[in-house]
Formats: sequence, C-alpha cells, structure tokens
Amino acid sequence: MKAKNILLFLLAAALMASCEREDMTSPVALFSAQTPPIYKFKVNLDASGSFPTEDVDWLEYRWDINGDHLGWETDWSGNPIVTIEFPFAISGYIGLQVRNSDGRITELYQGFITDLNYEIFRPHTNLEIGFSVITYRFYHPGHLWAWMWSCENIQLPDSDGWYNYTAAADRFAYGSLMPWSVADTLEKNYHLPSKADWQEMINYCGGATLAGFNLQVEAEHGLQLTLPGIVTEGLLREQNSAGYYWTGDEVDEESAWALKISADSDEAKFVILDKSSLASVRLMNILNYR
Amino acid sequence: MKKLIISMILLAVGGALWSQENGSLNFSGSYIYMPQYRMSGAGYTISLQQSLKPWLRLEIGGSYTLGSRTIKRNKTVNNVRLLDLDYHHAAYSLHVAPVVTTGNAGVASLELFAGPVITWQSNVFDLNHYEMPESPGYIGRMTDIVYVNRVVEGTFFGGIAGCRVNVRTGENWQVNLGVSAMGIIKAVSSVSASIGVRYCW
Repeated sequence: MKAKNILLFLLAAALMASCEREDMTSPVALFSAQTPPIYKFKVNLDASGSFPTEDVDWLEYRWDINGDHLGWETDWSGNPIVTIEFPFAISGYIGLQVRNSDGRITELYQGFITDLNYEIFRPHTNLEIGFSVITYRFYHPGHLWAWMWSCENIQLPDSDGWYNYTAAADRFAYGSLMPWSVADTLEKNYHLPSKADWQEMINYCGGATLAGFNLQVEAEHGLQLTLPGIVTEGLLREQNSAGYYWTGDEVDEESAWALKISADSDEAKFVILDKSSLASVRLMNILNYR
Repeated sequence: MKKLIISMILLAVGGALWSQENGSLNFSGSYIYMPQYRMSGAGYTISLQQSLKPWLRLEIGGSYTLGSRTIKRNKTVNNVRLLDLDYHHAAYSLHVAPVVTTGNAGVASLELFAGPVITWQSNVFDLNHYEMPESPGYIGRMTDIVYVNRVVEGTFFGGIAGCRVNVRTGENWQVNLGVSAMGIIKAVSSVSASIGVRYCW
C-alpha cells in the first residue's frame, strides 16, 4: 500500500516536472518619429516596426510621452501610431511598452533631440509696413541652406484694392487680405511661395495631415499662421475658422492655388481660389551658401 | 536568512539521524533537466537515512543545483539583430521522505522515496535581447541593445519522488544509481539522474 502511494506521488511529481514547455519571448519594440520632432508641434510616433517573435501574435502599445517613468499617458491600444504634441524644447525621453497576447512586455525608452537652427529679424523691404522673417538654417557638408519665411501675415496700408480689419489688434494678427495680382508683386527680395515651397513647408511641419495644426502653433520657431478668413464677393467669410494663403502658382487666368488651414482640422490642403478673392499672404526666399 | 534556516534545520535533523544506531550517509552527483524551460545542469545531494524498519527508512537531504540554457538566434529580422537568449537557474533544496526498500540489502536493493520539498530558487529568463537598427539623427540612445528578462526568485514548495538502486561494494559501502522528479509549485521543476556513494553503519 505504501509503495502504491509512493508510486502515485512519483507520477504526480514527474507530471509536474514535465508540464508544458514554455518558451518565453517578449516582442521586439521599435519606434521612431515619422518626421523630425519640433517643440510644441504635433508629430506621429510610429511603433509599427515592432514585431512579435512568435508566429501568431498581436501587439498592443502604450506610451510614456513625457518620459517621466511615473505613468503611461495612453491606454493600451492596438494602433502602433500615436500623435503627440512634442513636449521637449531641446531634448527628452519618450517611452514605449509593447505587449503581446501572452502579456509579455518589452519596454523601450529613447531620447529625442530637437535641433532647430533659426533666427528672427526684420529685413529692409520696399513695403510701407515691414514684416518679420524667420530664417531656418540647414547645414550640409560644404553647403548652408537658409530658408526665409515671413513670420507675420503681410500688412499693407489702407486701400480699396484689399481688405484691412478695422481693429488694430486684428490688423496685426491677420494682416491684409489681398487679391492674387497684388500678392504676386509685393516685394522684390521676397516672393510669394510657390505650391512646391508650401509643400516643402508642409513636409517640414509633419506632413499634410498635421501641418494645418503645426503651422498655427504659437511658438517663436513656427510660422504662426492665423485664421483671418477670406473675402469673396465683397463679404468676409470664415474669420477665425479658416486661413487662406496665396501660392505663386496660377491654375489659369482666372484662378490660383492657395493653402487652406482650419481651426477644426490638423490638415493643410491646397484649394483653388478665384484670383479676385482676398486672401492672406506670406513671403519667402531661399539662400544657398557654398 | 532563509538559507541559514534551511542549513540549521538540515544540521539539526541530520545530527539527530546521525546519532541513531542504524543509518547511512549518501553523497550523489546528478544531471538535472528542467523540461518546462528545457534547461539542463548539474548538482549534488547529501542525504541521511535512519532505519525505522527493515523495509522502511526516513531520509532527509539537501541539494544544490545549477542549470542553464542558451537559445541560439543570431538572425536579423526587419533590420533587427536577434541575439541569443539565456536562461539561468540555481537552487538550494531540502527534502524529507520515507524510503521503502526492497531486495537483498547484502547485495543489491531498490529504494522508492517520496516526500515534500522546500526550495530556494533563483531563475533568470531572457525574454528578449536584440540590437536595434541605426536610428535617425534626432534619436539619441545610450545603447542600441535592448534586453528584457523575467526573474523568478524566492522560496517555493513542492514534492520529490524517485528511486535508487543500491549495490553493496564493501562492508559499509554502497554505490547507487537513481532517478527522481521534483515538482515545484510556481517555480522550476526538474527531473534528474544521479550516481552516488553511501556509507552505512
């Protein structure tokens, strides 16, 4: 009887010792920003490069966006992409946890650095009311590229040829709304940005889906586009809800391309406007030094 | 502290058994395998037996075991270099078991034993170990290597059961071969094969 009990115990112990094999692997966690991060600008953090190391699996993600290691700013989500307003003026850490279906987690913290080289100045112009210019500098081997944009909407003296807001504060914030023919011939050293120039700025500001927000960010290093609206058929429309900025590209004799941004959307898009419409203006220039 | 308590218990009970009229002291080395994590290693066991009846003894033993496993990966997936994963195991265990003996003690005998085990284990399991691809200039990393592991450490309980074949080689000496299985709750279980030498008095 004792031998029987011992045999039973032996079998139970052997069963316990040889229980199901367990290979434990946590996922590979990888993430990056889809565009170089800029302080206060929205940026997409993309962890879609993460992958499970087991054949059939799914992954969930959560983020420590301020990098304080104290908590997770997002809940677990199956979406590997998260849009954040980049919180660091110079540099900081952002953390990611990736969890597989077995609940195993890989955690990854990475430092992010913003490396903006810019200056703001007021150039000599042939306009009666001057404007400030922000110059972004990009260094390449043997080559300096200076990208100069007016960081205020162009403001002109009162005239019947364009629209000026009556309040001084509005004039300062919104500038003048003018027809394309006036916008295209304003200043000899700075020109109306072409559609390609604007597209480059859109790319710089996180791409079309985020540039509408980033172009409006009230930060010294941004263009700080405002939402003056548009004047068509003699009426001011969409004030504080949309901004229309002329491009230098004509569609035909009657119309030209403009950039549109909105208060309720992060998107920046090009629209076709009648040249007689009164819209906002930014000017720009590019300098190459070798 | 736990190891000290286990050692003191072992010494006290062992001393009590040593003082008995009939008993034996066994030293064995073992190969161990941990099926759940496929680790393997080696260990040794010291045990004392007291004869209660011609066919029944009481055994107390202590063992130390080490095990490991390396999962070779060394491949690149999506520009990520997957590095090898290592498992490590170390354990001190103490068991008490009644032993049923059959056969001719003068020549060869078979022992069956089973009893409870208390063990202190330290296990480190690599969950991942990889080298990330080169990062864009706006990302700064202290290292490109990511390492994730899980540690299972502490005192656990379980049971042990096994058998030994003893062959008499001298007036007081025996050699034995044995196999055993040790099931541990919430930690690492193992099976082992052992060879040992025993002094009887």
